[in-house]
Amino acid sequence: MQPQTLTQKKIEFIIPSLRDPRITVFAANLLWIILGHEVLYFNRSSEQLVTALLACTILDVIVTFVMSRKIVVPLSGLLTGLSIGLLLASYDLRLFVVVSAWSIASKYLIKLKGQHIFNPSNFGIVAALLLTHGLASVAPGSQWGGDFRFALVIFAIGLVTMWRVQRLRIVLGWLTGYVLLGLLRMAVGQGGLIFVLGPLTGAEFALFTFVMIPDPKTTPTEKDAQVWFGLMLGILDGFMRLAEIRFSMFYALFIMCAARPLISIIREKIASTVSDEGMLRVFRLSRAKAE
Amino acid sequence: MKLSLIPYLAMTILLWAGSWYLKPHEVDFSQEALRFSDVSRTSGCSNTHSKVSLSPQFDNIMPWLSSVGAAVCAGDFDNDGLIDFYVTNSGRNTSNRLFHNIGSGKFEDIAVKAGVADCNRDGASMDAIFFDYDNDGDEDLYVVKWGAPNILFENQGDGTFKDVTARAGVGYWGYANGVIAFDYDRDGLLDILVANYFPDSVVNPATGRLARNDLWNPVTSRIMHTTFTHAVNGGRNVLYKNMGNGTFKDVTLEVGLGHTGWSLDVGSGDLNNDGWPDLYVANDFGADELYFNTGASEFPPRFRIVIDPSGHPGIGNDWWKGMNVDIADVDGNGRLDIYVTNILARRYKTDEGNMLWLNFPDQSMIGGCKFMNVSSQVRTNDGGWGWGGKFCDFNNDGLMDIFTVNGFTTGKDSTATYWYQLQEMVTQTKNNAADTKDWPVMGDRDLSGYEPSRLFLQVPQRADNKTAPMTFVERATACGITDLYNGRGIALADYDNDGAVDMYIANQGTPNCLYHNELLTKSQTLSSDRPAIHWIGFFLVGEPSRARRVGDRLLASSRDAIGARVEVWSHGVRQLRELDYCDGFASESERRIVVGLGNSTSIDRVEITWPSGRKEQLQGSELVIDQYHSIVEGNTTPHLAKGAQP
Repeated sequence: MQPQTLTQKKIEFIIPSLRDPRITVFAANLLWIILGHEVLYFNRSSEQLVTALLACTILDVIVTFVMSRKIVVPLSGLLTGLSIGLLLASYDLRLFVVVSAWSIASKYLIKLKGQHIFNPSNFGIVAALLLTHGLASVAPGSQWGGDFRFALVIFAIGLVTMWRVQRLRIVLGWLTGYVLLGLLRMAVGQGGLIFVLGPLTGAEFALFTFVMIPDPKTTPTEKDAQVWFGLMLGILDGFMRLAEIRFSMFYALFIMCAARPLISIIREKIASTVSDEGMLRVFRLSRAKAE
Repeated sequence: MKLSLIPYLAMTILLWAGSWYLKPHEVDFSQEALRFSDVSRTSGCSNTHSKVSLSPQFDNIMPWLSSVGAAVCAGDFDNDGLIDFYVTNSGRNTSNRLFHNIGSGKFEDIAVKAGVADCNRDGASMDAIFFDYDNDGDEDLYVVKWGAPNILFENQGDGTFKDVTARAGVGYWGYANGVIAFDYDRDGLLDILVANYFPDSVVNPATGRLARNDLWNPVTSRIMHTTFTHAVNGGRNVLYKNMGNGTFKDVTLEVGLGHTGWSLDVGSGDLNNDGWPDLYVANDFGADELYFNTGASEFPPRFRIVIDPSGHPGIGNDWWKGMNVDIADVDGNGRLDIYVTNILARRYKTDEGNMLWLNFPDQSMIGGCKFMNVSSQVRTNDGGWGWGGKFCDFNNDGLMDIFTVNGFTTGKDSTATYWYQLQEMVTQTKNNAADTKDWPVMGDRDLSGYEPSRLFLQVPQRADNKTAPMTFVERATACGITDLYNGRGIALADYDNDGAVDMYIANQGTPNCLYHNELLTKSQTLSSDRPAIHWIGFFLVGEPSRARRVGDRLLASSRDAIGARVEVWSHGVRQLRELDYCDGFASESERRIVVGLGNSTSIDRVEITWPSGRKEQLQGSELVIDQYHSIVEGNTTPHLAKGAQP
């Protein structure tokens, strides 16, 4: 089904296609929340989740309308709101509004070639960790009752979802990087196997992996690039963990998102230079032949 | 490619504005009269707590395992009208201290002479309470321990105590961290509830059978909690019913308290105003438990656990790190509220913190009570790594304040912390943290050390806005509470009988503090035209012999009158106090009640409801402001209490 556009007095209504991968991610996240809240003693405040969801969706709709005279079903805002509500932790409810605003604003203000650079919720969470006077942290991984069976189920559902939204390579690359660096951290004596690889089984890790990473707009679409993106993310995170930096996953993703367009620019420059040199060589060769 | 800087500038401004908006702002509330000064050294009651040291097998996390044990209880063991302090040590073969108040603000340690010093030859002392178990008019002493039987000392009335544990049958071997005395069945005999942390037995991997969990000679290193959120492999709590003949009976399972969480503290109070003491159990690594006493509808009474709307024990969104329970009416609605300490650490754990559960009537809920945690709204949630916490009207303004101590373990350097390691372990699933061998070495890393205590003073409502919501401001440092020790137990006691409540604080592995409250002397010297601050005090004595028959039951008060209620009416405003002085982590406060009256110089009346159910009323004209009154059940003539000001 293609996106539908209904024109009425120059205002467009945008309804996303059912094939939009964000719908799958949103549905999976919603299922997690319902399960967590109703069955698994999720222990996340409903007020915080609702605040983040409302703030993100309302802002998303308003900003889109102001900028493009379009009224959209705010799927992107919903996803951002869910991520913030799930992952951000603070006793101060105002923080969820501010971080939602930061997240949505980053989508419209920090752009390159018409595309936003950062995963909005990741941008908001990193900004919250750095700029809110210690009021923010990331929700502890003690969700899901600490039961490994739920971790297994979540991982299975998560991997299938990632395959469905064509982000499985990123996740597998990320897991590989995490494990490799975990083994390195173990080798240099940071801790035992449980300490370095145990967090893999936790909810914080699962939420980051299956909620934060697979943002379609800020992750690569090419197969090789996806693997490298995930792998580099894992390696960067691993080195940060070695330096005992808490919430390293979020910082690592922030850096990777910032680095991606830079790498892209550098690649284009190199390609363009190579291409210019090639053209020059062809020109010289043809001139030599003519002479 | 053109890059416009305007959007980036707009984003920067937005980030700055949000950060500025979220910056915590101070509430203007001056309390220049309220000052505390640490007089522990000059008064002769200083003690540097010695920590417990377990098997070297646990050395990698020994700072954690040895992070409790500093406790204090306050009581007038020799009935001279001056409050004494019993203080624990936990190191092997160290002596506990009994600081006898000899007047003029001086103490002397008479623990050896009194026969209550030698408690750490086996195991380690963790908490203690004074209570009159035999209703003979003097305070006996119960010391609870890790890895050795708890000890009951009977007060001989001559300044000495005698170990009667074996005869009384209260020598439970386990890992107790908390203990209270209360009369759960209102028979006039005080019962004992012991809150245990580690289990008393574990599976021996060599035999596959249960073996004693001796942390000095362990059979396994799998001694820790199975999860950080739902662990039920802790110790079982023990309720001893006082049989009245010098013996006790373990009735834990009969009354429905068989949970095996990692309990750190327990508090009692009549939460639903039905006359029967209810219970709140603060658990580490799992949900807290709230129990309502069924005494109003069945006999013998039992405890019915409250299941919150999520289907879990507790009363709402709990954070699984309950450490302290204190119970009092903080908002003046005539119902007892609950303060539970927890953990809040800037940058690491920011959605948790201490919980202030306000109690509202709601007949649709179990027990007829609905609780709401308003701690973050009223600003009492940031207690750091909380331990002991107590309600008290420190400035005698008629409003209940809250004092909490905190700090887990102090490292050499506050920047080299164990937070990263701890949180990597927290983010794991079941059983990953159960084996001590899997924990990274703590060494001398810091974990919420160097934290200042918190004094949350309730802000009076302005005369022009009587409907403003309750709020508190934190003023510990401003009021002279400046130590950065890792506090554990807080004993509230007016040791100099001046009507301003002082605090003895048991600090873990460091010197204890005795904070003298200089409120009244300070308020007099600050300004002569300032209205004086007034108070009134009560020393309640129950009469077990004056039991009341209610239906087919005989209800009586214990001599200590634990559970009695005092309602002081002044200018039409009621202040409710319930005598539950054993509540609070690793501590017991004194049993006298002080009610602050602010600038008021008179009271209308005082209503007392005894545990027997007897109600008595005293008129304000019968009472003397700024004095302690001794009131005996059944005798409505108040007398000035011993030690009262001349």
